[in-house]
Amino acid sequence: MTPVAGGYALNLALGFSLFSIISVFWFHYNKDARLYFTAQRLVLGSCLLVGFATFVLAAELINSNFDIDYVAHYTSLETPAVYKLTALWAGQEGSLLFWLFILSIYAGTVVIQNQRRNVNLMPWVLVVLSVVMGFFLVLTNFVANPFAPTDADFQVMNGNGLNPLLQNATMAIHPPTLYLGYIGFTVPFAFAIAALISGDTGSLWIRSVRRWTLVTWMFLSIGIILGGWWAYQELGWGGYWAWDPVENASFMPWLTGTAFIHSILIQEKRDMLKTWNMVLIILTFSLVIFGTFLTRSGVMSSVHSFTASSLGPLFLGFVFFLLASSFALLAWRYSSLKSDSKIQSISSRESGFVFNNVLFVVLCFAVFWGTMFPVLTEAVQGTKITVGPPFFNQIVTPIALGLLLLTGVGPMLVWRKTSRSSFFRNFPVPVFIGLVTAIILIIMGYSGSIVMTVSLSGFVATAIFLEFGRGMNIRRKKLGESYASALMKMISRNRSRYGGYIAHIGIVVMFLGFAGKVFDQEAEWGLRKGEEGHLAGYRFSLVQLSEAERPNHYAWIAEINVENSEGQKVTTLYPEKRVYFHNNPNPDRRQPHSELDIHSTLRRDIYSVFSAVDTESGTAFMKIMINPLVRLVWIGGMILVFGTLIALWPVKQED
Amino acid sequence: MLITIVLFFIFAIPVVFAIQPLLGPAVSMPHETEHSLDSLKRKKQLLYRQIKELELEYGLGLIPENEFAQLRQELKMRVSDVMEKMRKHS
Repeated sequence: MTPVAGGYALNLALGFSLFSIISVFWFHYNKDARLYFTAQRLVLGSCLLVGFATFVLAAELINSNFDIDYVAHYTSLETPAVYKLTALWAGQEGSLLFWLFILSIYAGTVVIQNQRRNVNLMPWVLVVLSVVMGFFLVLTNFVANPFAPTDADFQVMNGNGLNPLLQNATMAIHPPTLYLGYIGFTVPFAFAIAALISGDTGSLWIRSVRRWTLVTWMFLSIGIILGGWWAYQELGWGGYWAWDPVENASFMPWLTGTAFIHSILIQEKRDMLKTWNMVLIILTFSLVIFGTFLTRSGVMSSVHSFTASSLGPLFLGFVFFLLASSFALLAWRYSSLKSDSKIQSISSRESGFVFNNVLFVVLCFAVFWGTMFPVLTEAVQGTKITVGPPFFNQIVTPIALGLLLLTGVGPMLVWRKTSRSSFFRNFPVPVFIGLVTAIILIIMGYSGSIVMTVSLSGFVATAIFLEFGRGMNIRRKKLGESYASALMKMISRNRSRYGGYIAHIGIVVMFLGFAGKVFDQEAEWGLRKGEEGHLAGYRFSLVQLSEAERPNHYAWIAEINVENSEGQKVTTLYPEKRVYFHNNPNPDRRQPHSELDIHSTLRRDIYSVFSAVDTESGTAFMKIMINPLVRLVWIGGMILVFGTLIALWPVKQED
Repeated sequence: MLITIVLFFIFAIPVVFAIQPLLGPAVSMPHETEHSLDSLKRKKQLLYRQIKELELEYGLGLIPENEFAQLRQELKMRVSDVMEKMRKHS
C-alpha cells in the first residue's frame, strides 16, 4: 500500500472533522436534520480514514519500507515481526496516529450507538469529538507526520531497530490498554460538555456515560498496572513505581477518574454533586491531555517519555483552551446545576463519598505539585529542583491510607444519616479486627505505616466480607437458598454494588503488596564460576557463564543456583546481559541491555539482574533483590479488574 | 493504474457516504421523547432495578424503615405510571 495514501487519508480525515463541526452549527441554526445526519457520517468517515491510515502505517512497518522515516527510525530487518507491529506506538508520530486510531474507534462506537438516541446531546457530542480528533489530526498532518519520507539522498538498506526495552511482551499490551483508558475519557467529557451547551444538565448524560467511564477507568487501571509490571520486569531496579513524571501523568487522571465514578453515584441516587461531577470530568480529561503534553514535550526527563519535540506548546495551548472553554460553559450553566438536596449528616453515606472525593483530588494535587515542582522552580529560580520518591511517599502515604479507611467505612454508612443502632450493628466487628491486627503487629515489633496498612486492610476486608455475609443471609432467610447460590445470585442481581466491593478487595490486596516494599533487601556481587554470595538466608552460586548469538542481539547468560538456609534447592535463575545490534560497525549504536530473571512466589520474589560482564576474568556482576509480597500487587490488580468487569457486565432484561 | 483506481474508491466512498443525507429530501429530526416505547421500556427497567436495589439496601440496614416504605411506594407509583403509558402506546 502506498504510504502517500496514508497521508491523504489523514488530510481528508481532518477535512471531515472540520466539516462535521460546521454541519452541527449549521444544523443548530436552521434545524435541517439532514445536516445532523451528515455530521454523524462525517465523523464516521473520519474514523474510517484514520483507521485506513493506521492500517497503511502498520503494513509499511511489517514490510520494512525504510523510505518512510518513521519505519527506518523504529524498526530494522532483524526486528521480530510482532515488535515491528508494536513499533506503531514506539515513536512520537506513530503513537499520535495510534492515539487517533483509538479515538476513532470510540467516536465511531458512540455515533453508531446513538444514531437516534440522545438527540439533544448528540450534536454537541459530535462537535467535541470532532474538535479533539481535529486537534490530533492537525498534529499528524502538519507537525508529526508518520508518513514523512526518509531524509536521505541514498537508499536506506536497514533501519535503526526498536529500543530493546520496548522488545518485551508487556510492551505489546501496555501502551494500547493505557491509551484505551486515557482516550476513553474523551467520551464522558464530550457528553458533559454537550449537557452544558444544550442545557440538559440532569442525570441523562451521567446515565449515558456511566458504563463508558467504567470501561475507560478499567483500561486505564490495567494500563497503569501493566506499566508497573513492565518496569518491574524490564528496568532492573526492582520496583514497579518510581513516581516518574510520565507514570504520574497516567496516575493523575486515574485519581480524578476514580473520584468521578464514585461521585456520579451520588448524582444518580440523590441528585447531588452535579457541578462537582462536571468539574471532575473536565479535570480528568484536561489531565489526560496535560499528561500527553508531559510525555511528548520533552519538558520532563523520563525513561517513558518521547524525545523532545515542538509539540509541547500546542498541547499546552490545547489544555488551556479546554479548561477555559469548559469552565466558561460551567459558569454559564451554574444556576441549572444547583441541587435542592443537601447532605443531612456527616455520618451519611453521601458525606463518605464526598470525603472520598476530596481525598482523591487532594492526592491528585499532591502528585501534580511534586511532578511540576522541577518545572516551576526552573521558571521561578532558574534552577531545576527535583523532588524524588521520598517526597511522594511522605505526602501520598497518609492520604492513601485515609482512602483505604474510607473504602471500609463507606459500605457501612447509611444514606442520609447513620443511626446509632446502624452504627453499633455495622462497625464493632471490623474495628475489632483492625485493632487486634494492629496490636499483634506492634507486639511482633513492627511500627509505622506497615502497622497502619495491614490493620486498615484487616478492617476494610472484614467490613466488605460482612456486607457479603449480610446480603447472603437476607437471601437465605427469604428464599431458603444455599450459601453458594445466595452468593452467586446476590452478585449477579446487584453487579454494580458487589462488583465494586470485589474491586475494593483488589485494592486491599494491592495495599498489602505495597506494604511488602518496606522489607526489600538487596546485594551486589562480582561472581566467577563456582563462587557464591549470601542474602536473606539464601545462597546464590554461579554455576556457569555461557554465550549465545541470536538474530538481533548477543547474550551472556549466567546460570545461578539458589539454595535456602537448609541447603535445599529453591530455583535456578538465568539472567542475561545482552548487546543489541552487536553487528553494527559503529560501537555507539550497539545497545547493552540486562534481561532479568525473577523467581516469584506469593511470599517473595527473588530478583536477579546481570549488570555487567568482564569477559577476560569471566566475572559476572550480579545484583540480587529479595522483594516480599510483590505478587500481591499483581493479584490485587487482577481482582480489581475482575470486580470492574462484574460491575460492567450487562444486567439481563427482566420483566 | 489499478492501485490508483483502488485508492480513488477508498477516498470517494467516505465522501459519498458523508454527503448522501444532503442529497435526499428533508427529514425530520428523530424524536426521542419520553413517551416512545423504547424509552418507556428503558424507564421501566430502570425503575425495577431501583426497587430491587432499595429492597437490598433496606435488608442490609442501610435505609430506615419509614423512608424505605415511602421510597418504595414512590417508585411503584412511577412504575404504574410508565406501564399505563406503555399500555396506551400499544
